[in-house]
Amino acid sequence: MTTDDTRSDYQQRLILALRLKDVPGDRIGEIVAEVESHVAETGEDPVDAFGSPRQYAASLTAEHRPDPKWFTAVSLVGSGLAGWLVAQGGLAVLLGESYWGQSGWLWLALGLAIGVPGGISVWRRSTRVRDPRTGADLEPFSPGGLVVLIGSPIVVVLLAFAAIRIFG
Amino acid sequence: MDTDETPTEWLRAVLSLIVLAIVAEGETYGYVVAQRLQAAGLGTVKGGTLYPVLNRLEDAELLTSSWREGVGGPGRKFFTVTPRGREHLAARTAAWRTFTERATGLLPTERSTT
Repeated sequence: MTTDDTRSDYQQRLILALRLKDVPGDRIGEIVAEVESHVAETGEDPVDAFGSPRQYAASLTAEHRPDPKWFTAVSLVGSGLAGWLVAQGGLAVLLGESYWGQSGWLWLALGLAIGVPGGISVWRRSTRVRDPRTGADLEPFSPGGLVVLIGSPIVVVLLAFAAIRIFG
Repeated sequence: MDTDETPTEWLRAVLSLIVLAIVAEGETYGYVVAQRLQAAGLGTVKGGTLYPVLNRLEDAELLTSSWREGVGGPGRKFFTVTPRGREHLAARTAAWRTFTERATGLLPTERSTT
């Protein structure tokens, strides 16, 4: 028999091990829920039934199919383009100038239109470990990472704006 | 039952077909599949072996799955065979029969080994 403590310790270590193998969040949730459901039913120790978290993660990822190359390429180009448009558009808006004969707002909106859906899909696939039984997150979410992710490009644009204002 | 000396690779070769056959008898979940295997004398199949097999069958669209609330438990993942799964099962079962008959044909009969 296992106590809830060792079970949740196993769960945490399994999530980490699968993360290190680049398994998508939804898939991780599914795997963790299967382990939990099985050991709850049998009363087995998860290590006896599935092996150590690291072993189990390794055995699962031997068959894991990574994203096709075109998907990675489209994501990279899309995010690069979106970031560039947002930065150029944002700067043009701040300086009150047009960029390529169009209002900075237009470029800003275009950049967001390209970047936001892609960003959301990457975010969902790569970070959320969802419990398929309840839809709840299995992993506590730290807002710090999101702040850095969104905040740093804004800081760069503001710095560029400040530099142009001061030295331009 | 454990007195039978069955090499583990024999089970490995046929496990996914047997698991498919068990699910094809009626919608079921992992724990019950493991119990059926044990009751049939095929030994203990650990969760770490069984769930990857179930998920591979699902990836191949031979099974579908859905989570359902358990009674006081943490929910169960039920597996159901797809029409494609049934076709696959029929074809592979026939192939398995042919294969084992051919193999048996080459093995010495019980009388000649004693």
